[in-house]
Amino acid sequence: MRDESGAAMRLEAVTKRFGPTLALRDVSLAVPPGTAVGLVGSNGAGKSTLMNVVCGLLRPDSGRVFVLGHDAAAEPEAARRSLGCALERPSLFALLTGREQLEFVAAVGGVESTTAAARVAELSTVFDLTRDLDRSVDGYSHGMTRKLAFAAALVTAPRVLVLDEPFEGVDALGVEVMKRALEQMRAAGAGILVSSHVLSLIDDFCSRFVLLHRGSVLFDGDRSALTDRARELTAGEGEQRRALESVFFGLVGGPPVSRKLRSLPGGGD
Amino acid sequence: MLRITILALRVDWRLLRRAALADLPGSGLLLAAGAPLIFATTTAAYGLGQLVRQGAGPDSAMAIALACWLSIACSLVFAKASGQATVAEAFRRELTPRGIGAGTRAILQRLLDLGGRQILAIPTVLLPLGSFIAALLPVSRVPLACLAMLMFSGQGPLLLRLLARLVRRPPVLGTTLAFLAIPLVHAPTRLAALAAASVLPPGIAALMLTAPGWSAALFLVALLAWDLLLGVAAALVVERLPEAPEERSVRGGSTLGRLSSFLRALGMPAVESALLARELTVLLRWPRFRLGWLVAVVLPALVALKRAPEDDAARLLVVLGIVPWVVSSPLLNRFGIDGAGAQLYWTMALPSEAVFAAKEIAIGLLVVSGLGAAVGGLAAVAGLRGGVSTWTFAFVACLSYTVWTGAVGRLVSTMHAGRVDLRRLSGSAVPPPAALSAALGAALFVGPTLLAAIGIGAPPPESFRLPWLAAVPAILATGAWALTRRLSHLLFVDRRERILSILRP
Repeated sequence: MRDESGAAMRLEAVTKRFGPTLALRDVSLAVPPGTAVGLVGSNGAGKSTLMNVVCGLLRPDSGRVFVLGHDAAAEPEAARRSLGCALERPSLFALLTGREQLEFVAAVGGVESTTAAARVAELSTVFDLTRDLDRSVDGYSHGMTRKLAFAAALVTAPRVLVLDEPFEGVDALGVEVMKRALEQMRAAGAGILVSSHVLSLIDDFCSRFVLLHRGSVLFDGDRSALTDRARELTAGEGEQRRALESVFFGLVGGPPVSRKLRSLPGGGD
Repeated sequence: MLRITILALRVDWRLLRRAALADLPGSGLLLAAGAPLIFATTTAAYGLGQLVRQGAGPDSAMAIALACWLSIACSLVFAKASGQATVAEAFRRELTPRGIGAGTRAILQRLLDLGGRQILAIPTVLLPLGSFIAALLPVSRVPLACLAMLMFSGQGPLLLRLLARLVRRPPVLGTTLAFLAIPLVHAPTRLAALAAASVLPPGIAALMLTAPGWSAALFLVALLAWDLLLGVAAALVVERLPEAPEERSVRGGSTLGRLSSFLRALGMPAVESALLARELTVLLRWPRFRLGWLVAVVLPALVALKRAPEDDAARLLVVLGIVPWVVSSPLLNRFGIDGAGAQLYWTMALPSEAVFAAKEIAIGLLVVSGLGAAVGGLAAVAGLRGGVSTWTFAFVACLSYTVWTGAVGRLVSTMHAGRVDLRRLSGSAVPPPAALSAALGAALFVGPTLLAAIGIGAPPPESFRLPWLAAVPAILATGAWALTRRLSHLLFVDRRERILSILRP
């Protein structure tokens, strides 16, 4: 069955369990072409599980995933041909060099060798990996590993990008380069699903937002819907926050974040 | 002889002193003394044996040969196994504490710091002395050969690395190459020359032991030259020389890229060629596999040197069987060396058949070339005396066993995946449940083959001369292959979560 909605990527009532734990509960969301969708949620909300389901590392117990109209379960090769993934645990082979890693992904992703060589050279330059490109990746620092994984996700120039915490551990310059590359891909029509715990980064970059909490979608909407919801949630409060933060704190709740810690110095009493 | 011994002792002492003063971890000190220990144990045991037997013959050559290869292999293993510093790195480090007795104090302190391990560390330091004493005993030329190899191989990576730089200089390289030809020119017979050329340096050691008068010294020089070049070659394979990364960055490109381009030029599709190139690149960089490969190629030749297989088909089977046994073990834990990289198989929805095939072809290529080298080595030393049918049976049986292991490995790898620490040389790369399954699988392969051999009326060694018997293992392997293809695909899809949960750090 094909998805005719025109979305770059769409999840339809996806449920995933790990034993007794319900990691995702009837999650439905769509990533339109040329749109960056920010996925936020607290620790254990199910973001990485969702990303792994989309990228084919986990099989949903029920529901379906469509990529560019292809059902990922029925047509996995067609669905993932245009999908670039940079996951929380980077998919890197320890005994390959950075250059070989990128070349391998490009080759199995169907990129012609001349184009692949040009992309490898350019991506390694902008991500400041040139000096270490011929070193084995198991000697890379955490930040370099993240940048290489990000470059590997881009090297096939995919039409759909799934990025789980791509900015984590990356220096400020690297984050800026990543954001520009993503902006270019988005402008070229790619659908991007990106997760991060840094709400300001998601708020700055994305135009659509999904809030996941304990496996369920609490909010799914564009910026105007986000602003409206934030206004509803913060009515009567004096504290000024970004709209995404207001929705996050308003819907997720949890312990009071503004209260001082009495057991620590400066806690008062 | 005494002066050379004292010189060797001084080198050994300096090495230990530097290792201790450079504040290496405990493994560094053990490493510094470990390589001579291995050699010393071998040579000391031999020396005692010689005292009893009072004579040297082919067995002497065998002992020297084993000692020689073992010392090269073990010195490299020790260097890598420490995982933190090689002897060469120790040598380059700045010596901080100076003064009389500082070295001795540092060594003693290091020994004390090792805690319970001094039980191992103290004899480690002392045993090389025993080997030198054994070398001084007047028991033929064996101690001389031992000492020569100790000087060049026993000291391990330090000397190899230092001499590797020297060997690059044209005059040194020219002289060394000239020495290489000595055994071929001075060997008493053509057969001896061939033997020397095919299993160097053990062959030269054998020549040296039996050569009359001063020509033994010529063979000794040749032995040192071969030892040096082979040691450097092994070092290049097992641990990259310091200059290598710079050269690679200047040259540009990548091994994987070049291999992949080559395979595409042969007409292989892009995805398949990339997968196969990746497998070959990873296997050839994995130290444990390279060491196994070295053993698989060298061991058959050593066994042949010890005793020619002649008509003994069973012996031939065992000798050739070493190659698939050692080399094909990665087939049983295929995703282990991929680690988190294995995620790509599923995120990019690579066809399971292509993923499996790439791993099998890569190992198959290495097994076939290993068998070829082993057959060539055996033929050069012993001649094809067993008859073509016996050799054919042995070759086909070994190849079929590899295919069988491949078929079993498809199932075992998906059912019992295990992470592999790529930096470790010790321990098994196959998880115990997978090893047990593989052992059962091997029994299912060997059993019917033996039953077929017995069923025709002749006991197995004689029946192995019947060429059509080779069809039995071949049919078994092909059948297993066909049966497991579909099942392995289903397991690949169904068990991905389990496999990845084990492989990801």
